[in-house]
Amino acid sequence: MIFRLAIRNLTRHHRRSLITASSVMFGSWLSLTTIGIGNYTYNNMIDDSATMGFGHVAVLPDGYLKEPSLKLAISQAETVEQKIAATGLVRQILPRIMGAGMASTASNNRGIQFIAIDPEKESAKTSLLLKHIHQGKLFTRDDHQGALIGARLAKNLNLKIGKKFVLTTTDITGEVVTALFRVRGIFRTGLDETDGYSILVSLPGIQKVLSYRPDQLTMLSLLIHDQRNTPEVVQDLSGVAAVPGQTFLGWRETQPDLAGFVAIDRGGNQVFLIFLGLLIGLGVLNTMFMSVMERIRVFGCMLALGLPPGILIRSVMLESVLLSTGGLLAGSAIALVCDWLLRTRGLDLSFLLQEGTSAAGVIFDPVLRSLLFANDFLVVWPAFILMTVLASIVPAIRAGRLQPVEAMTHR
Amino acid sequence: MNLVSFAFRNLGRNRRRTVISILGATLSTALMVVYGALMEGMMDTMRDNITRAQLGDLQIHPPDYRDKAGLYLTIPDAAAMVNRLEEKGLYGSARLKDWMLGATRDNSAGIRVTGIDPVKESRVTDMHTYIARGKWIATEDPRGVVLGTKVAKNLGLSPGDELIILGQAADGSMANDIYRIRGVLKPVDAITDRSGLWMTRQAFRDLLLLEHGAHEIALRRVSEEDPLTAAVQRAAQVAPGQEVESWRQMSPAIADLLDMSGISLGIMFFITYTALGLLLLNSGLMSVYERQRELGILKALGMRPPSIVVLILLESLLQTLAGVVPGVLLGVGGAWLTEYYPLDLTMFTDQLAFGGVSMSPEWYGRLTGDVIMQPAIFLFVIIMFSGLYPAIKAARVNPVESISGTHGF
Repeated sequence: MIFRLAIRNLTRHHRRSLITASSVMFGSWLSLTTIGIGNYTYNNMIDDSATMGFGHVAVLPDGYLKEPSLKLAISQAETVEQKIAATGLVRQILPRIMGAGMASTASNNRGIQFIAIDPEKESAKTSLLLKHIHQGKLFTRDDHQGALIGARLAKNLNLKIGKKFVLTTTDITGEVVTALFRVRGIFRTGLDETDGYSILVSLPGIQKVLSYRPDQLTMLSLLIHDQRNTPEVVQDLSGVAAVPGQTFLGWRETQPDLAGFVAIDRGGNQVFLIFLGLLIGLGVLNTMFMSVMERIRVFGCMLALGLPPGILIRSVMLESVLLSTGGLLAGSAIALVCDWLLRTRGLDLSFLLQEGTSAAGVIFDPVLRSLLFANDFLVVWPAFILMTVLASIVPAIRAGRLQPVEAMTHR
Repeated sequence: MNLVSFAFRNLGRNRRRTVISILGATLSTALMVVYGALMEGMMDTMRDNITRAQLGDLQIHPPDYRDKAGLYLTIPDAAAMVNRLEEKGLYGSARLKDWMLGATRDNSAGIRVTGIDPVKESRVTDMHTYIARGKWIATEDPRGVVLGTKVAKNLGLSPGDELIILGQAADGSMANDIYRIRGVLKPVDAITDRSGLWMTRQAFRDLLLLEHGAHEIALRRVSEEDPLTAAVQRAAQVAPGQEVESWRQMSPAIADLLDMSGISLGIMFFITYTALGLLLLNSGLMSVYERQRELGILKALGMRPPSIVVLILLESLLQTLAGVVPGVLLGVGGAWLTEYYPLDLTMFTDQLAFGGVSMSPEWYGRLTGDVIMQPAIFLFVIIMFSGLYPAIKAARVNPVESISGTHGF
């Protein structure tokens, strides 16, 4: 009966109901789409950043993050690798050595970061740099002198495919060492920080230069299936594959700049959406008050006829819940359509963004896309329902407290 | 007929609804002012970080320097040029730059060494204020060098520690020497953070045996009002044959990002005020609906439809005015607070970076005229839009039907 009462009241003023429901629709649509776009953007940045070196999860020597040094190496890399692979939690296991040094040619010097990789395990999917090769190709595993360098660095050092340069760095004992490399390919990510700074070299080659044993690395870089599970994967792996002197670290620890950016951006969005919810809540409050005030006489009659105040209160609250449910259904439907459109086609904003616009050292994808998860609905729906229930409490109690006699004579 | 007193009376009749509408307008305006101030503050910090920290307003380089930069590519008569530039209203600092290897006992990294005259430099940039630990370089301490934040961390260096610098001197010989870390910088930009090292100009000349010239002259306009493009032209006259570029040309991505900040602010405004518009539309329609009988009588008494439109619009306008004033006051108060008490983002991150420019995690706001005016103007536009529909609805009321109550609204 309460339900029928509520529905009848809502349809009686369908225009008012529509406007209120449409504000809920607008709010929920906007919230979901904002969340979806945020999800995609962060996901994309995190995945891109993961393929720039550290992965989603990294196995690192203790103390490496505090003071990265080529003196710090993990050993028994293969045993650890096998243990990790056996868990099935990881999509890719990439052995790497990362370090800083200087690249010199006859014409110039530049400070660089080198990432030594096993070319047989890497592809455009595991390394952002390999995804953006625009000249030449990746060296082979046996090509100990092969190197891939950034386009900007190539320009700065006046290097072309086949030309050589000298890398100066410190080895595992802290001695300054030099080695000759030849450019096999040039990549161009569009990010100056990377294109002017990073080089890729072959793992066995650099192990010799640095006096590393074949089972010594600076890290195992792990790519997982879904970055959202990083903390769980770190915990599980630490349980089964931990070796003294080595730590499993998630991308939030290895790339704190990015983690900070994501947290701040997401936090800002949340504050904004909460505020928006507040505005919409005010609209619902307004409507419910209006509808209670104009029905004072009707309510008076009902109470006089013996309707318990509790039922009246619940009926008014149900009205507002129904209103917001209607708005939520419509808003969610629009959000799903937007999500589908953005997912399949995307919205190209490259006319707004300069190539190479970046945050936290990761390039922004100029095409706006969306990635809504079922979880997002589980946050937005209860939030809106709660808000409308809160907004209707005062009007509902007001209706329940009416004195039948006074209410019936109310003008 | 006095429409204003009419409008006032109508608003007073349903106080609760009026208060809710006013509250909505107040909240949105306040929030948009604070948000605008925070955006403005961020853009300011970015502009400052990029120009005041180390780029300057404009720079002079030998032709092709940015791609081919090397020890031998210099501006020959840099010192004289700096003097002439000052006569043209531009403070200049001649800098020497080269990439070398910085090594400690355990570790090494490629570093970009910049040699400057600290006195001249302080007129062009505020690098000396970016010291996080220790002190900025000083002429009387040629062995003291200052490091970027990440390179200091990566090499495990703190003020007082020693660093060996290795490179190739101008005569082809091996250049190496030991320096003491005098200070460590705060985050500045991607390159400075991960490889920047600053020393005095004389120390640079002594290390690399480079007697004359400079690799770069960074310039700052003496007067802030001096247009950037005009400054570039004047500098080009003083430095014929050299490359003169403004910071906007050197960092186009940041310049664009700064120009674009208006767009993202506009989107925020649009969304917030659409929600507010719906709230106002709702209450406007309610108030018209409730009064259709009266409106019918007014019309029957000869009130023209345009007057009714004006009356309803006036009501929303008055509500808005009542909301804007406290909203702006509240917003200005909040924004003013952010000028002194920054939002502390250190719980999220030690450092923020946009487009390669590092930012401190303390987020200051900045209050400008635009920050206050834009939300207020936006609000009026929204009010007019959301008031129009109920107003037209009201003007179209059929007197006979509405008085007799035979026509639903």
